[in-house]
Amino acid sequence: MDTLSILVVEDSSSDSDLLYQTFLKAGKSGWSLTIAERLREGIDLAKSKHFDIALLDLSLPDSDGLETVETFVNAIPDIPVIILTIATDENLARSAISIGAQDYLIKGEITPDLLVRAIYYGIERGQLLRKLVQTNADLEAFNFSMAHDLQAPLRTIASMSQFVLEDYGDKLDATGKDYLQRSIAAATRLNTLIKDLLTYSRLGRNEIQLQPVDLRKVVTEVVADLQPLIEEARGEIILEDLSSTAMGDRSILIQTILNLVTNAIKFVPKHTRPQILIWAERRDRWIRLWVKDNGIGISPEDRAKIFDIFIRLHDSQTYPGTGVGLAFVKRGIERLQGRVGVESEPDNGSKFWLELLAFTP
Amino acid sequence: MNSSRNQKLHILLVEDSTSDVMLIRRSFRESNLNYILYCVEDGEKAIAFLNQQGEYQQVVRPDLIILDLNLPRLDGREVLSILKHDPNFKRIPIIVLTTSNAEQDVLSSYNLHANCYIVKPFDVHDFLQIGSAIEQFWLRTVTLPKL
Repeated sequence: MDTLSILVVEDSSSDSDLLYQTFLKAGKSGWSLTIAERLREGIDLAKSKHFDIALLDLSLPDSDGLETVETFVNAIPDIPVIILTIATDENLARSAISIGAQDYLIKGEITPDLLVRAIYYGIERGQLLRKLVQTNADLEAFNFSMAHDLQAPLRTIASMSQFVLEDYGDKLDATGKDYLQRSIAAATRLNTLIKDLLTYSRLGRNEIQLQPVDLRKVVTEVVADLQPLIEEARGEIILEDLSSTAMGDRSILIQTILNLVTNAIKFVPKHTRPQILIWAERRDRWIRLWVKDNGIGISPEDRAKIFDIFIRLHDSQTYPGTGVGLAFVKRGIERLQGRVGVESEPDNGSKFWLELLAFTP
Repeated sequence: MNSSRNQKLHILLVEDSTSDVMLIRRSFRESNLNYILYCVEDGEKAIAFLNQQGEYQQVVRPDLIILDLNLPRLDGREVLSILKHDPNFKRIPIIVLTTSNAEQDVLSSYNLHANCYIVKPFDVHDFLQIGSAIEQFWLRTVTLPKL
């Protein structure tokens, strides 16, 4: 016979009695119910002893609505939560699921079967979710330390090869020097890849708070950073209307726009001067930022996969790169609750866009 | 002219990678720095060195410490925390020199009162500049506390 211990946070004693009767009808007299009438009391109980699941009323004397779920889930992240609600609050209950509750039950409609099933599912889902969160965190940590630990020996390979070349160069013939130069070039490429991967992996590791970001400011900053590259390519960047403020994160946006504009400078046919146009426009609740280039363009087959990590469409002699840039753009903007896309034809330039929620003061 | 320019600067390097020790030595050799460099390869030895314990009874107190963050036995972050909490040692400038450019490491190092933070440059010529940069700043520009 299974025994579960269940925390019920419910201030109405008639409602908790009703729940108790429903458990009895379901034949679950072996399950233990602990009743708390206030949220604070429920949290203290959950901290002091083990519960398999919590049933949480949204309106309590010391907390109301979604705040109740938020406070409970933050304080006790390990216990799955089922919301108890009234029929007119069903929308609220659905929002509760999006902030961490496993399920909701509507008071007055709780049958024994429904109650037992919700509890089993809730516990199961809670366990899966915890495992998933833990696995993801482990994976991110692994990627990070992996990439990090690769950097130091790589720097040694490059430095020592450079020393051989400089200090013992006169003892080497042209082929010997060529071999060493290839080693240095390969180590340098690998270092760029590792740095890109670290930046990419940090995207998943850090907490992000959406904040208003002035698009003109970040774009101007990126263009200033890229000035040497633009001059080298003898290109031109024209900034049009950028008077929008979007909800985002400054450093992710800077890296994102940097990657898009760097691509726009890089992917031009030989002997073509990059011409890049950047502007923003309002679309309902969204701000869409465009980066338009006169580059080599992308075929329809390739457009679907260019945002995937490690996808490179060109050989590294013609267009060197790591295949991480656009993957960062996509993941970064998605972490800012936005979207990215591209409109393009081969030989006809590309128009990359990203959409972020508009800032409404 | 700064009167201290002809004095020898005693530098303690805490670094476990022998090739990085070699690079740093070379970098100092190529600078005009008048220095004596002591090297230890983990955090425990760094603390013993400063406390003049064990094999380090005859050593002098360093004017400057160059500290790697990822070290065996006692980690660089712990060394930093121990030294900056010790009234005897907290005024010795500590230069963090590490491979990590993670924001978290930069932030926590300064929070532990590191005096500056240098990311080891990938390019060997940039790396070799570190010696003259330290000379320029810590020997010629700043005034260090008297022991």
